[in-house]
Amino acid sequence: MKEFEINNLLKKSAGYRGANLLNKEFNIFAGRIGSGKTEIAINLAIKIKSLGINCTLFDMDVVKPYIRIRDIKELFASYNIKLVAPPDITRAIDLPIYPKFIIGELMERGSMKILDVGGDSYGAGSIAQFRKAIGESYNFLFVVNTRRPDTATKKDIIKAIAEIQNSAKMKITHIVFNTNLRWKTTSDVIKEGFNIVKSVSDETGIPIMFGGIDENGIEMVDSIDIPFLPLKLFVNPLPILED
Amino acid sequence: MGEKILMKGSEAIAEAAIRAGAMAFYGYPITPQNETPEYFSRRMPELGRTYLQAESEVAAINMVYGAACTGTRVITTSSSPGISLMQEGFSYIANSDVPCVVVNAMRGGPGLGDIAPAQADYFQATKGGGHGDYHSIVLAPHTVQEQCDMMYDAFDLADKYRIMVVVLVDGLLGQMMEPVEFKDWADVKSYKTPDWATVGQGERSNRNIITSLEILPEDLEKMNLKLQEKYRTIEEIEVRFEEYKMDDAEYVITAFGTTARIAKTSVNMARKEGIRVGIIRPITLYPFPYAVIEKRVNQVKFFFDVEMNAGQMLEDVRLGVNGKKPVYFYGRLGGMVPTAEEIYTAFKKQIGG
Repeated sequence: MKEFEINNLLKKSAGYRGANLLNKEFNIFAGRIGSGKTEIAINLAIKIKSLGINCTLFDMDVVKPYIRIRDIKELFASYNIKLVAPPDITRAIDLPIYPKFIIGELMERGSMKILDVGGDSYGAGSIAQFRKAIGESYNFLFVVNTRRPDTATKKDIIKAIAEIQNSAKMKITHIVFNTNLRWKTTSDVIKEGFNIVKSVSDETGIPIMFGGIDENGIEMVDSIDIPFLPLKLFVNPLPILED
Repeated sequence: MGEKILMKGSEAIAEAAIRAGAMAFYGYPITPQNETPEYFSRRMPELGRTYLQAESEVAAINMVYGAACTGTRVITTSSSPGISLMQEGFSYIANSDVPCVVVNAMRGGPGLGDIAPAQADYFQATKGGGHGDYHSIVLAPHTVQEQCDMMYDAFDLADKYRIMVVVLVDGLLGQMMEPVEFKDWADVKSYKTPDWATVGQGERSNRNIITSLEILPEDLEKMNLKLQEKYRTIEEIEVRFEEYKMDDAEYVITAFGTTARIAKTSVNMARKEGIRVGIIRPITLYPFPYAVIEKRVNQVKFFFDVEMNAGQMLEDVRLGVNGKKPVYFYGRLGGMVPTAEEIYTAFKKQIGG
């Protein structure tokens, strides 16, 4: 495993097929429902903030009713990360409401912005309206877990990428590899997933920027030659039941 | 069993139902279980099966009733307020002796309430809900994997007893992402149309009629007695429960679904401090496992019931305990979910900790 050295990703290329730079003003996470966008966005924000880089996290999930960034907003205050989230009431209501002053927040310059977008083309499509405010300095990252039913094959992943691009009116610039089975993840599961995602990258030319891995299982990705971001899980509410 | 995949509870319910042979889905969307009908809407047409979004829950349950009368494996899914709207249909289905599966992903009530997870429909699911003397079999899974496995059981039980089977989950279990493995596909082609189904007279000498109407009280009483006979059989042979760390337990926590799941962590916290506590987790809420409660009465010092409601299963636990030991209760209301620490603290208070 390449150490996830955020400075490298900010300065020089890493990952698979090169040209991977996090140093864009916007890092926008999209993907199929349940691919791991929210956890990755949170962990990346914390990592970036730890370098002393100003970082704003946007909760733009208008799709799922629970398990969103806004549910744990106190956490971000403790990390001194600015959180732009919909009004408090949406913590308990299923309405597709965006944060107030969203355009102004997006156009504010001088901080790195991490956007957690809702799942599937519904979630991604809803950010097309902000295309102008986002400008040209962005990474549009497609998070993929090959152990999710809709993204288990090369064909399905390419289809998902196309759907999300079409509805968001933005090209996917990078893939974030996040194959896992939660506590049932094994290195074989990851290897097998990486081969699928690599074949997607080869066919589409979209580079793989980095991978996500549970912080308690980093030894499982030793043999895979991309940087991995160790993930602490934040939004999952129920304790794991091992059998 | 196939390959492990990572699924949300609400998707897994749909996929498992499809593999268990659900040929038709009728429903109406409601948070927090919209992923379930959405999943059906994609998968059912792919397989040449029926998906129909009705104009309301009232319409949906009557479509389910209609399909059930033809002996087709049929399902609807909804959440508390939607389930309330369906109650009239449930009562008709009960008296018509037709099989179907209903999933209720419970949310906070009463009324419109909220969209947060709750368990406050226990009474409604187990003690009727609709009018008349009837029961539905009620299954309460506590993990995503158990939900998957239970969908197969739900359809089998429904067919076996010609009864409605309720799978009672809550919004949280629906939103959880967990690794699951599905059992093999049910061989739907091998299912024969039952001889009572209303699918046309065909070669039979008489027409089948399915109705919940009996005008003469003598006849309606007979019909009711037949239903009661069916319920006694179910109570005798279909009771399911899990005992967790009960062998040496001095105390017992009773809980179902999500709460039982959380309480398992509380039990492990207690055991680390040397407190011998176990869990009795009813898996069938109707028929309720009274016998296991009775069996453990002499072994334990008290029962501690935990639910996300004001104490509904508590009444059944008390019936099982029958006054022989104290039964304490801890509950959260309105969509609040207790943490494992919180349950442990509340439990410790009762042992003077």
